[in-house]
Amino acid sequence: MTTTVRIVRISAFRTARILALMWAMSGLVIAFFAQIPGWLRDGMGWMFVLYPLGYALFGFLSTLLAAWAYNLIAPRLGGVEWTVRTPGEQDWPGRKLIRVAHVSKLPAARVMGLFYLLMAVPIAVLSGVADGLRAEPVEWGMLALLGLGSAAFGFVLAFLGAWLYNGLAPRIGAIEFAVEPIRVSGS
Amino acid sequence: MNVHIVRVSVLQSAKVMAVLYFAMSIPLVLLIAIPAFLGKQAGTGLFMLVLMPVVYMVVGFLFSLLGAWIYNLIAAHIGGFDFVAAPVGDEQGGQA
Repeated sequence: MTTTVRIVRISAFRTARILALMWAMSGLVIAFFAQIPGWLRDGMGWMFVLYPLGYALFGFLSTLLAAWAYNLIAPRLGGVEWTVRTPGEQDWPGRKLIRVAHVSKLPAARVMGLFYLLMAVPIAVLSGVADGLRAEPVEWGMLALLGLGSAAFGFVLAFLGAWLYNGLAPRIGAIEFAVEPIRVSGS
Repeated sequence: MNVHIVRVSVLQSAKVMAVLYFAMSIPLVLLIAIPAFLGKQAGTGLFMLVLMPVVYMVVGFLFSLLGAWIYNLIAAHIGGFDFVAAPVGDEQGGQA
């Protein structure tokens, strides 16, 4: 049995708080691997502290704004709808505030890897068409690399994101959203 | 409660995301507007600033449409997102 549910409301502050921390950590990783050699060369080592803070601030404000805007839009337009299956459950327990306690890492990574790969296809096709129009040889090797690189990026990003989320959520509070069941379908 | 997202609504998601992109572009436009007007490029700047939210909306709609369609394709073949949801309370105003 599946239930179609509507995301009625998102907890703006809780969502912004946890995503800010996730942004900060990704900022830290980017700073460490990509930026720090240049900063050390230019005598700007202090940027190593500022960079993740900037990421955190951006992540917090943009998420807060997006969640606030979603909560304004959803009651007027109807929110995003998901069809969900809850193994072992009879049906969805009515209109509820739901806390995302844990995200499965491997399913998320698998989906996002394939998602990034398929999203890269239109870009690769457009790029190939553009090369053809400019009468330049189409670089199929580069386009294939773009697709595979996107897939690997999506996989790693989702896996690490889910791992990070599962570690942070019990400590600083998980994302919460209000969900309303709108339709129940048979198996 | 284990929740498995089998499918996302394609058109409804794209519609909501288009309006969300539009709303999110407004503060961005206002931030860009200040230096644009100070730099005395008001003519071109104003046109671009009016156009930007519309472009954001169209891009948001198209990418969400494509994204939701691709998600449904993937979820049907290899399974979608799984998460553990803990109901933490009743919400006001809807069906119970």
